[in-house]
Amino acid sequence: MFEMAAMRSPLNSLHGEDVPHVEFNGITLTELPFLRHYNVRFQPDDQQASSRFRQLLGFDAPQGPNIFVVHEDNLCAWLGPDEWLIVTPFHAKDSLDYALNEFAYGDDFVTRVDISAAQTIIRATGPKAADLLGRGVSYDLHPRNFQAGSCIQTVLARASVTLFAQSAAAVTIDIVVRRSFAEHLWNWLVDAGQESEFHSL
Amino acid sequence: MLKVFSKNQYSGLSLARNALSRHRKWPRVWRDPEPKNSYDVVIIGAGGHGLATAYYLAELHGVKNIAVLEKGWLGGGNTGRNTTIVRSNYLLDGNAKFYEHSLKLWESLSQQLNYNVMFSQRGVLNLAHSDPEMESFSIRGNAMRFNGIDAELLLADQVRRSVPYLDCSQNTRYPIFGGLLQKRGGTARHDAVAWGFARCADAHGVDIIQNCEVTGFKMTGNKVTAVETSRGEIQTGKVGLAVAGNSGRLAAMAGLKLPIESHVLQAVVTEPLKPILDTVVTSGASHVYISQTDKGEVLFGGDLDFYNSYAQRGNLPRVEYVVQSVLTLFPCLSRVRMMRTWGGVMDMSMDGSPIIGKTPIDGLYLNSGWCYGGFKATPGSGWCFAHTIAHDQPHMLNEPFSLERFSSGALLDEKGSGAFPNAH
Amino acid sequence: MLLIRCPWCGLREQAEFSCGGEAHIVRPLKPDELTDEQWADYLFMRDNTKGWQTEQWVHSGGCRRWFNAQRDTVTYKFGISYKHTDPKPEDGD
Repeated sequence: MFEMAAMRSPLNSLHGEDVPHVEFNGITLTELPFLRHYNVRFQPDDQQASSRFRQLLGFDAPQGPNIFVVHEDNLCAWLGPDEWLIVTPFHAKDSLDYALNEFAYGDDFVTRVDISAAQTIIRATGPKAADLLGRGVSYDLHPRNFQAGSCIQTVLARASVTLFAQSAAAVTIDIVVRRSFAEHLWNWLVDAGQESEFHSL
Repeated sequence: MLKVFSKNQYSGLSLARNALSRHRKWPRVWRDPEPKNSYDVVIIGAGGHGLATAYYLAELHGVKNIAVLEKGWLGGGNTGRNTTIVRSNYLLDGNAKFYEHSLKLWESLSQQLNYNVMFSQRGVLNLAHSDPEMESFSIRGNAMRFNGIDAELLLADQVRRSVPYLDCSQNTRYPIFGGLLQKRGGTARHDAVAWGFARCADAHGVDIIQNCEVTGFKMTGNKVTAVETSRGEIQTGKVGLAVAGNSGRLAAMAGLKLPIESHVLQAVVTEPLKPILDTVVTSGASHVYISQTDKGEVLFGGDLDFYNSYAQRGNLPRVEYVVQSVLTLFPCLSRVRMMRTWGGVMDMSMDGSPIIGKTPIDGLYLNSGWCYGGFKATPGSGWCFAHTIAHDQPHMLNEPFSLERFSSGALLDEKGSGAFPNAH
Repeated sequence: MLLIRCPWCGLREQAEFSCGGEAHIVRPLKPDELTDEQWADYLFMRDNTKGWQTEQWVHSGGCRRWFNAQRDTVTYKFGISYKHTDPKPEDGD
């Protein structure tokens, strides 16, 4: 069995035992470590698989591109026409893990892979969070285009990332990044935030 | 050569003589003739390779009635767009012997052409960034020496001393473990190579016809009989294609499909600086090659843009990547301004090696597929292509570069990348 | 910077994509019955079109799906993007 004390997040090396957290120029960066991440694949036109997914997990996998849904503690994001990312808190692991196991071991052609150890999430909040990410992403991250509930996969500072628009009111963007790129991306974000456009008047 | 230039020979004496007329009476360097109705040999493409071919056909094989057709202007394609690197540091026998022959021609080219091509043997240094890369460099260096080519394996400290501005610290993205140096490699003035060959070919009576685009071929049975151009039809029994970048398009006019994709490759120069780099430095880690021109500009290039292109212009993401690669090696250049970027269209062949030889069509000869490295081959390519056209069979040196190798399986895949033209 | 339309994700920047070369080159079903020339024709020979070409792209920095797109190899203008199981469309404008 795992114990929390023994776990290290990909960004712990920057901040010792603490959860990485910095604030500068009205932008806050925080790591959301130790969440459970699952990659789930099945054919969306497979009626049986879709209905079993709904039955076991209690919600529908989003069908449209570039969106995610939140159901209770679980976040489910569209990654491709037959692929989803499910993120859930660590404490909810057992129940969701059980449901996904049920789902994967049925007769349908479905897969689920636990990729919790492979990636982490950096949360950027503050009025200028979108501008900060905009330094490296050509996709328009302004709330009128990148509305709450949107998610896109793109490249930020040469790292593959998935961005979630969590809240439009107080701009909050979650960045899912592979663990080996996490430290690089964190440093890049902190560095990019030093540019003069982010300095408060 | 001297007898050809008895009147127009460039020398100290001719300089003094023309000084008396205030340099107003220098003769034209080449003529601008109207195309004749027929030629013994027609070369398509007045770049370095085409002009060299015409020159060696006239000089070594006694062919007198030659035309070189050019759709734009002389030396206006890849000859005028490359990063001017000359080397012969190849592993495989077929490549090593051919490029070494070319390098030997380079060494006496200025004297041979009576034209200063500014060949500078400043050395070409390939950097190694890991122990395995050092190992592979020692294999390549030994193979080169077996083929009679100079090669030196340098340790990190020797690299540091010979290229002082190179970042040799341990903290860099690509630490320097050593390098493979070919001292006889270097650079040449790219335009001068085309001009020198053009001047000599013209002196031999070769008609260099610019603004003359080839629009098709006429054939009787399986034999070429004429070339159709924007300036009329030209009868000929032998046609040589030397149009890297457009080889596939021209071959298609003759009904041939080639194992070639056209890709755009970009190059960049900075503003001129005081001398900081007296050799050519290349790195395979991020694929970049850097030298300093005689004007002082730092000249560098990198990868292709990685999509098919005939546009002779590239895109900024690649420029950004190449600049980052250069700054990884030479952080001291970070505040230097970039002056120009430009692109040329490469013939990327399916095994990364060129094609010089006959085609399934009688009288049609092919010189193509030069990938990143056609410039260094210019004299050798012309020399071998001229031999192939004159004798209707390849010389020993270009036998491995046949078009048939793609069906026979005798590929020359220097990097072992397989049938991915953009990976070579 | 090219803007490329992924049939699934929509219009995105060039940095998210890789080009996979000419599309609609079909692998022969019975390679062992081909001559060396026919195999070489499949494996190595390319149309290398100047102008409109259909080619394979992969949205590697996005949804990681392969698709086909029309593109002019001289102007870099993109035509339609479509799923790689769809038939080859007419050339773009």
